[in-house]
Amino acid sequence: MTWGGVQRDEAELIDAARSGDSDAFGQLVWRYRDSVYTLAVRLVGPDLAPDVAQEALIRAWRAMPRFRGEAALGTWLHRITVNTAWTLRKRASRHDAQQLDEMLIDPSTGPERAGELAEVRAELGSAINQLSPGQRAVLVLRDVYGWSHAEVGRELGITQTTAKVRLHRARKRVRAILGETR
Amino acid sequence: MSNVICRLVSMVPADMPLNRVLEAHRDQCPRCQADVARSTGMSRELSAMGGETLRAPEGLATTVMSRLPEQDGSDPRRPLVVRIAVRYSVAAVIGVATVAALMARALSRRE
Repeated sequence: MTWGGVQRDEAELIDAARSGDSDAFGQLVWRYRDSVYTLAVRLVGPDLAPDVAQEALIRAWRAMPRFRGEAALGTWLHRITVNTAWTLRKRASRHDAQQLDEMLIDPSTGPERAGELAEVRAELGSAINQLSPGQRAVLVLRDVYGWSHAEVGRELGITQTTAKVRLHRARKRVRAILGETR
Repeated sequence: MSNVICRLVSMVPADMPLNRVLEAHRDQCPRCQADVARSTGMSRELSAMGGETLRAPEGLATTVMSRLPEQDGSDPRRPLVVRIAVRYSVAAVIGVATVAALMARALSRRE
């Protein structure tokens, strides 16, 4: 991404966006839109994910003056996305479980391995879709994104113990579902 | 009996320590070992998903940019309902305190 022919540093863009520069924020949106959307898909499914990603990025813009850089911008945006998805989960639950299957294919692998991986990911995606919203959020944040139990608990408004128990149940459920399909 | 212990082992979350009896059982039980291997495999598959990025729909960025409201520095992780409730609760507390002060003043005058 260039700005008047010159690559703008992320820190510079953040500073400008914090001061209300919407063009700078636009460049940040361009950089992070895929990662925000990916997390949204994993949390609420592809049907509602565009709404969650859009709302999360708008919330991020409103809150930019608060951003102090204690965490990386990507991490901060992910936290906002989790919160947005969590507050919209009632809307999400009104939708039928969405299938991640065709979307979870790693483009960096060769064609023969890609087919195998796609099958595994499709089964995994389908199993994750069958979890309750709470179990799904904990499993995605902890096992897919590697968040700590403390971070998961803080962002979802639950205790660490609840997060651990929910994760354990989610893993067992996913394994049971995979056991049925494999 | 072994079946019961296998179930006990499976009930303990992976990142919580097992007691000595359960640990010894898990280390020599083929069923528990297979269970551990399945869990490890699944964790590996899940964490591999973390490195993947899906392409956002065309127009997402444009839609966001066309809908930007005023920046207000609000906490993005606190839902709107909570923000409204907090705002009104502050007003309610101030109102109750004012009424209480007026009542106390009226009572003290009567005395």
